[in-house]
Amino acid sequence: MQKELPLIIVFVSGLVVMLAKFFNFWNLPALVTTLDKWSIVMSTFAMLMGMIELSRLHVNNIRRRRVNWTYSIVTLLAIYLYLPFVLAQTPDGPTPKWMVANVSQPIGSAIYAILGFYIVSAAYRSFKARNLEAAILMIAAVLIMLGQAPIGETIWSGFPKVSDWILTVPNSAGMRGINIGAYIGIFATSIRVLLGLERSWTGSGS
Amino acid sequence: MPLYERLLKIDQRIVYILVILAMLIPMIKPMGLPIGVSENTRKVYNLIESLPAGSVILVSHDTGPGNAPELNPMLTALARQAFRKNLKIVAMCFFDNANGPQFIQDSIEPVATEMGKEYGKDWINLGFKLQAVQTMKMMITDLWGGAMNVDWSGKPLSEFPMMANIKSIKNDVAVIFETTVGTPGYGEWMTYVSEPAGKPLTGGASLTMYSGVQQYIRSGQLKGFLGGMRGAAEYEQLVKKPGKGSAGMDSQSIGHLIVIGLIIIGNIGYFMQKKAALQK
Repeated sequence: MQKELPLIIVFVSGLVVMLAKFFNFWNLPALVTTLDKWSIVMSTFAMLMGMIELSRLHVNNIRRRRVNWTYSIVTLLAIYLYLPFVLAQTPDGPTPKWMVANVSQPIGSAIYAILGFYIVSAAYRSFKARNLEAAILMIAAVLIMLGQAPIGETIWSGFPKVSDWILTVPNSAGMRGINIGAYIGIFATSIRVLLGLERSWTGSGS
Repeated sequence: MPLYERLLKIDQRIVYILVILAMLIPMIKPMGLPIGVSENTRKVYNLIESLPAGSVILVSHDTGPGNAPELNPMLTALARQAFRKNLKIVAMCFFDNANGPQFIQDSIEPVATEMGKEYGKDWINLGFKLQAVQTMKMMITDLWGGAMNVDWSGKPLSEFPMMANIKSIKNDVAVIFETTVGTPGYGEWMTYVSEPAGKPLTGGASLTMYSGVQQYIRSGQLKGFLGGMRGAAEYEQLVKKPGKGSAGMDSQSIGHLIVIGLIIIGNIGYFMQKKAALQK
């Protein structure tokens, strides 16, 4: 029953949500709203469990002096220094606001900004017209870059139009194809999960 | 070392220094290049402009610190246009629990103060919400329930006068304005709210996401969309208040030129190398 019960819950919940999309009997839409509420409440508890589990993991890292255990101290400090201030002052209190503005935001921005340097370096090393496909990709990238920056239209007023055309015509066609393929895949996987054919999520293998 | 090898193996440190200079110099000495307004940005502006006074815009500001320089100016420009037209803003976020609510506050509050608008009367920040899809779906009929009946600081929604008339997306929201960098983002709003509830969806995306939204703009499911910092700068031009988006445009221009220059140098080196190999 330990294995079957989760499968039954998934099957029944999934079926109710799917049927509610097409039919309106037995007050199904209201039932789906209730399921949605349960899901929100459960995810809140999952957040708490995640915090407890994360704390256990990092406390063990520190206790056993595992590789990079000092970073675990930083993680624990980040969690437990922020928490009491939020509880005491609410998220719009002066200390939580200061922490977000002066710790979280600069770190997040800095990490993302580093990507910019790597992207420029990678573009220089990899964008070579080695064959026709690579040449098309490179030319499209250059045209989009010129179209997206004001310097492009200062050089030639047609760059934004060319850039727009690339984005709205060939790019849209390609993206639609990729999306249709992905959604068919998602649908097939969902059906397999509902029918219990795909069980990797239970932790018992597929 | 032959010339082609030197062209192909420019020291990474030089590349990085070039990038830093490309970003810094225009900030110290702006060039003020003219910024043309694209059709997609004009659509966003016109949609907001078409709303009657008192209409409610539901904002979902789904970004982290990495993309905030692109997306925060969009929200500031939206606030400026909305408050000029006496529209109301209900803002929330699903992407970043720590920074998202603060970004909303930082982007809207200064404009509200400047234009004499009050928190709770003209705009509200509902903060971060868990389980995006379920919360969005719930808000179609029960916006208060989806917000857990509180704003971002935990104050009951019943304390805010504007919320007395805003109970559901279906009946009380005119437009959804989504700023997106990934999931949850415009896809969820489009699938679970905009289409089923028949609400126009607009907003903006980071430049990396912008290619992905084009098909939905073309199909009419997105009513225009702002693209990256450029989109934010264009929107600022339309609301006639250049801000951080416009300020970043010169840096972006020089940055793009540096990338294109390096690509050209790399390709010259590549073809010279190929030619030398053939001659051998």
